[in-house]
Amino acid sequence: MTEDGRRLFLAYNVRSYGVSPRAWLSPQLTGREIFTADYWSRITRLAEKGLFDAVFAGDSSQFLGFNRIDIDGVDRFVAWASVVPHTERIGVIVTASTTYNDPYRLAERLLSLDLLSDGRVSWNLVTTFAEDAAANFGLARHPERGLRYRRAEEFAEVVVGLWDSAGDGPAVAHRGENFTVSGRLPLPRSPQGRPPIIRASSSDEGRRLAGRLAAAVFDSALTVTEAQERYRKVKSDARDAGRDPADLAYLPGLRIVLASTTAEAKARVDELFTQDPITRSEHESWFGGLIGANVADLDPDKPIPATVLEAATAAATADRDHLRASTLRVLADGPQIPLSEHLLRTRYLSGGHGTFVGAPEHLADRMEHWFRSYAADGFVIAPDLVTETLPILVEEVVPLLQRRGIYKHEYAASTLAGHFRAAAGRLSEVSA
Amino acid sequence: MSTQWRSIALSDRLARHLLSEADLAERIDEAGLDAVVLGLERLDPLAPEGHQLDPTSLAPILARRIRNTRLLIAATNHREHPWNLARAVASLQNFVPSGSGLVLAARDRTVPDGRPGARAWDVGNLSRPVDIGPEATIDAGVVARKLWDDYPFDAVIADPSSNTYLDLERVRASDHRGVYDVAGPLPVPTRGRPLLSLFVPDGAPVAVPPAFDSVTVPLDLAIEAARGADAFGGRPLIAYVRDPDDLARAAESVRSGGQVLGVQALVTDDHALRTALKALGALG
Repeated sequence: MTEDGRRLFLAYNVRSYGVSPRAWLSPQLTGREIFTADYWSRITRLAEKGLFDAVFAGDSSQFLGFNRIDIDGVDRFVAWASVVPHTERIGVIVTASTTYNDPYRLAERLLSLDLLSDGRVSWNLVTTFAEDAAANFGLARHPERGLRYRRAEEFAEVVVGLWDSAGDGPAVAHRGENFTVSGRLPLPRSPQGRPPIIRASSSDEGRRLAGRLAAAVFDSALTVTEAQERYRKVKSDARDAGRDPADLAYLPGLRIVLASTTAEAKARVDELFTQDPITRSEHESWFGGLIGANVADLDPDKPIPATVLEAATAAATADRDHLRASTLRVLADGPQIPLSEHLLRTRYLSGGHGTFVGAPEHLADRMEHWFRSYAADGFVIAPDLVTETLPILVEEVVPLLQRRGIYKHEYAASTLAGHFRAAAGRLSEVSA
Repeated sequence: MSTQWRSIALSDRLARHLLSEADLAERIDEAGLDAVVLGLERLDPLAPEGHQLDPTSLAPILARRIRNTRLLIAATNHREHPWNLARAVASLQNFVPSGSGLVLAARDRTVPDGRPGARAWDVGNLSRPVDIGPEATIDAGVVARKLWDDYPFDAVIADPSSNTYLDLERVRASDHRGVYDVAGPLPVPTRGRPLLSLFVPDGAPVAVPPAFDSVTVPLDLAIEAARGADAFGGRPLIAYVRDPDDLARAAESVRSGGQVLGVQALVTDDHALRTALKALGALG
């Protein structure tokens, strides 16, 4: 336990087989088990053995199989419900969009799974940014950002109102810009009071919502300085909403390539780029999109021209694309290195999350540094290879974190809301 | 579908009871039923009121105990967009050992008063609203079937030698244009053929396309409909009974060799379950 009573909150990101497009080639896999309850249960049971607070998976409302990473596409309620009978304490974070769902239906689905798991569910509230999804729902155009965020805010109000109506709570009587809902959910109240809400991203549009309603903000931050700045911002949002800042956790994503030695981990990244030409060209294409220029048109042996970076940063700022802007800032503020070197260094940055490539000891160092520097209350860990990485985390990294006094030795609570409170140094459970 | 389709619909209360009563669940699983339906009470205006857990979460949990019987979910396009529904059922079809399917109806009676019921959920005010009615519900079923067919499970080839995970030639956009416009494909492949039954609680006649495997209607209406020629587009009828004591009469209509090819009994407690399993056993 730390001096202030905090300890790391850890969630494991089960992004299909991992964020590497070659993850499905693992010798431990046949390639099809992602479509079975057994795969999800096996991972979650092992994460529970490592006292992870939760398992997590993102979600999308369109086919993404082209990218060779997001290949499962399984309905998140089906996937996470299948792990419930095989686990007892670990939470499940269900990602669901406010753009292509109905608030009553989603409130009902989330509360049902929460009840069936005895209070282990959290909602990762996202808006859908992918334009392709619109055509699956009869829309000629994807709704613009402002509309999506206004809808998200109203959506969350309705969902929370419906959760509070369950049992003998007050009926909802909502009439707003997007929704007209009245009545009650025909379900008992959550054992958690309400399932905790996680707000994905610390973007300005979602700040008020997170400050008022969320238990955590799941964010992208590339550097410790950037994360500290966001950490303070998120805590102040809670304070502005009249809440204790400890009740709103800041959880940056962390992409990891973890192996017994740093050399082994680095070799795995090199192998991906040398043996998988699609990955290399996709990366160059992503990098070109980031800097707003075609990589093939630039000299690989010279630094990226300052004018290119300035123009891209201006465009990202105008678009309020903070992920792109902060990634560009890392490039601009870093040493003047050739373009080819930038391409090597950014190979795992395309998701916008901080990246770690190395051995258990160094990963523990990194997590401890961010945690003790108030750059994170915990992490959502996304490995390149889901099945290979988890045993190393459980058997090697977790004991290191425990020895350093920043990770629990046993679960202190039975609900996910309880895990959040325990991580914040407040051990009492929330009563329903 | 077998010529004598035998299924039960579990009330929410009984389904929750089964989570802690392994023996009871085992008895259901060993009864040789063709299917167990979850969530049907929300489609039936005459079913008793009470708590209603989401069947998409209930099914994977019950699948641990009911492994040899298909678990179907009941749902409406009133409450859910067909793309979301099709995705949930495709996922269940993969995760439930004996497969899944959808009993689809127009209206969900748990929809609160504030939603007057004149519109099906589409994407709130982002899209044109969809009128509730048989046409929209049938179109929702057609959309689901197309989406399931257009991304078959064997498109997942996972072949290391060619470094190919998906055979993208076998993953097709459905590009459906109807009451709903849905591009597809789904993000999840569909293993085999999920069952699809249209639930018509008032027996109102509609032309039902082959995307549906059957039409589920209350017993008296099923008997009446079967007297006519090719009711419901000639799709096989499932006679639905709210009281398991009516199963004997339902069995007669099945044995008569007409369009009624199966029965489905709503069971709300242990006693009703015992009665239903006994009667369905005699039918099998």
